[in-house]
Amino acid sequence: MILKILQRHVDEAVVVKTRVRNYMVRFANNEITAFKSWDVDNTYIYLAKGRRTTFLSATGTPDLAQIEEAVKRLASLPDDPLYVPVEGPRPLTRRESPEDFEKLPDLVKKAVDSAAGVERSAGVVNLAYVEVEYEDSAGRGGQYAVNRVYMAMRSFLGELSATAAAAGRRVADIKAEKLGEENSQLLSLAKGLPQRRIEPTKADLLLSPLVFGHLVGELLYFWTNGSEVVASSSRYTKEDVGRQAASELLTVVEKTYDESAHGYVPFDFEGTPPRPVEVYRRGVLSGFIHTRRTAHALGMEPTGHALYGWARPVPGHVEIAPGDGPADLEALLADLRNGFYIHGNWYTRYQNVKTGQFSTVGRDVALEVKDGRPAAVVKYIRIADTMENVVRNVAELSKAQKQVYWWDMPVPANAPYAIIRQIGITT
Amino acid sequence: MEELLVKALDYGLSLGASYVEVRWQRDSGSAAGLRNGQFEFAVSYSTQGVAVRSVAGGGLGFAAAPSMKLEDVFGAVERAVKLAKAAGRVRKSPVALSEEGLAKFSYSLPDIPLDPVELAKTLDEYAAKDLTVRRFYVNIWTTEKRVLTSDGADAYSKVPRVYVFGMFIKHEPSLSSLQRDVFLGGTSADSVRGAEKAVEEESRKVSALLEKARSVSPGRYDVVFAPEMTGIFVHESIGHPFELDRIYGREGAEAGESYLRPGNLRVKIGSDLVNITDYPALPGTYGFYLVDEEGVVARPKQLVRGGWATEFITNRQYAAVLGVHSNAGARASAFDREPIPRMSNTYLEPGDWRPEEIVRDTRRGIYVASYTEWNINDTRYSGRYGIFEGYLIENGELKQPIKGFIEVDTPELWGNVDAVGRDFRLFVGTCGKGNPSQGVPVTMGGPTFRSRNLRVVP
Repeated sequence: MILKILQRHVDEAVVVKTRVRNYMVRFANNEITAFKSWDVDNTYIYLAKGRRTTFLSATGTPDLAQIEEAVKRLASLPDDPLYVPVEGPRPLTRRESPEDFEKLPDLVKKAVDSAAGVERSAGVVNLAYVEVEYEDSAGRGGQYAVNRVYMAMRSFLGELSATAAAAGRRVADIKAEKLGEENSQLLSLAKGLPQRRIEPTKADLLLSPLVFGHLVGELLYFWTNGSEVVASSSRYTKEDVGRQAASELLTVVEKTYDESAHGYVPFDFEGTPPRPVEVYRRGVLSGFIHTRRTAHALGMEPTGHALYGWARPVPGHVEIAPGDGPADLEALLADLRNGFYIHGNWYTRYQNVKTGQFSTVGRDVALEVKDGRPAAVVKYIRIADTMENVVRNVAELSKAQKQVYWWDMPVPANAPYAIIRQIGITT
Repeated sequence: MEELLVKALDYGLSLGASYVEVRWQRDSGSAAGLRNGQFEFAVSYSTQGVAVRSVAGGGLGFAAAPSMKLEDVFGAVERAVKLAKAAGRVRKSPVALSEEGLAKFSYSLPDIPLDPVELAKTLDEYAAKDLTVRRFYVNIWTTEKRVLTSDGADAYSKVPRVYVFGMFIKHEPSLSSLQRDVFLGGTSADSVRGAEKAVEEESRKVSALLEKARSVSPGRYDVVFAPEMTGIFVHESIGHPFELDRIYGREGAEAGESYLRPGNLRVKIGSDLVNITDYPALPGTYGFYLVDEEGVVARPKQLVRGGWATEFITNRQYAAVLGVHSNAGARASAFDREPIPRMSNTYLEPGDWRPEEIVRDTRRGIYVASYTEWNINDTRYSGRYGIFEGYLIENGELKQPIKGFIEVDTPELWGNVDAVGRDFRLFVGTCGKGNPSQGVPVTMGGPTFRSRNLRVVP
């Protein structure tokens, strides 16, 4: 109905209706602090007249005045240099039933109860049921409904803390007990060790899946993103594709296409199904994520990453291929030999997005490792280096991956542990 | 609408809630982006709905409906009460709220008659053209709220805001690369008057500093901080750790906790010269409001007085934990977000030094005008602030431009303060916290100040 009204005023239009039913249990000090439920019901509209484009969004359905105002505004806008006609393959239709939110408090209890030896735990479990309908003036249409769930828990023991996270598509994907057990294991390794601070230096680092997934996710946002390449704010240009840009051990694939991924979607805001995008293949820069608009601007293929609107592509889920390193933490510490294990991080900020000079703050237990064994807990550690060094200096990846996501991760990830040589750290 | 909201309150109470809060909120506006002088996007948007928070069975429940239909709002009430009871069943101590004299009034600010595309284009005309990257993002919108609580609050507000983000990068492979981000805005058109000058000045500095700034020799320096630095310091190292929900662990798995611990709150955190305030009701500011989302009237929060932690940013739930009144810190970024303790306009109170006198009084030191990368650990104790524009001070005079980082612990930063200027300026920011995430408009700033003997690294 809206589409028909729009077609009277513009040359092309796309209507995307989204409805998300969210349930979230938050807990702290081993008890639930809030149980929340919120529905999102939005309509997003793309309008084009000639080469001028604009977007419109509203809760529910936009009223006529809002539509008329947007159409009127189109006349005064400059041409969109990234304009492309609305077209492409027909979006898929896929529906799954909503998961049961009433199970969420049980996950909290299991996770808290399994964190043996800790003083207290805080965390969150979130279930979202996402329904999307797509329709455009080229006669294409599709709809989907999918579930997403993630859980993160941070456990405390005195000044020490450990975070564990899990993500998936079904409540059953979350093994809540494992979160508590992982936190318990790390805190027992750290308990009783001396605590110290460090001076700025370069060191070998072992990064947890939470940290390595976080950093590679940042890279997909800022460097291997068609919009940033078009704007020249990426480290990479189109001409860099095919060049060795990272360690030969590193293969990274954008995984939004994969039904098992937390960030899975059957199609994006342009109706395009996401396809696997190899960002690095054995360290060779292999591709960027795109909307149809950014792909056209760079003479590349669309990848289905207009995930939250038409303005720019965003990653939905990142996969870092595992290596052949050990699966368990203590064996990885032995492989690191001398250096630092960083388990959690947050507050990643750039001095310069183009050069990728950044720092990120260690958040949980960080261990100084000597002769393959934990020797001290390092307080207030930071990684301060360039993203380029992070991806170029990968020396080992664990053979096991974890699917993880939490509040400060830029994008959900399937990530292994990573040993990275000679990275800047500071306090 | 009033009838609908009152019915929702009554319905929540009839379901067994001891407290019900209903908030209608609409955010509507338009935004635009400009990439290297070219049109990037233009969008208009409107979100609205009703949030319901309830205390029932000892727990706290929150639900939101993207609708004004009676059945949808009643559905949200039912969920809020049901979820509160479910949460209460697994709590050891029941949730309680402080008792307050609550607001019954409405206020509206005039619209901001600006167009985001035109404003972005105008600002781009003033940006240095030798930059590798120049991007602008402009958002102009109005937030309307009506808050009713079962214990008597009834407040309506209509507040427009304008926000400008500018990113400037000069990339010169032989010299490396430098980036400057600029944030401007407020709750009136006046708040971006003069934005052209700021864009012109800051964008031109990028190439100049890239060419001239040299890495600082590592060591300890007396550092004079301009108001932009004051702002990021008060926000990160005082405002956040003074949020009571963080102190009591509620954000432990997300935004983090605090160096202040329950049972040991009123600690000495700075020198006698350090007085830090958070005050929402400063006219025209980006963080402006008069009544919070729980119906409590805004007032200055005296976070630090004479270097002592004296007051904490709180909502009614955490005020009850301390046995004090709320200081109107409860904010929500949208109709589907829960109100939690947040900053508004946070600043160091001015002292009696002229800013130039502080520099003249510094024999060997560094003057830092602005920052690039920054971050702080999640208890807000250990901070790192990259210098965008900074100069060596030798015998009271500004000399060579330098680049480097201030790496400083919070007690050292504020404890070593020995001079506070009489100037005053606030800077715009979007403060992130909460799960789901809530970015709320804030300002931060104050005067120029000096802190002695701080660690500076290249």
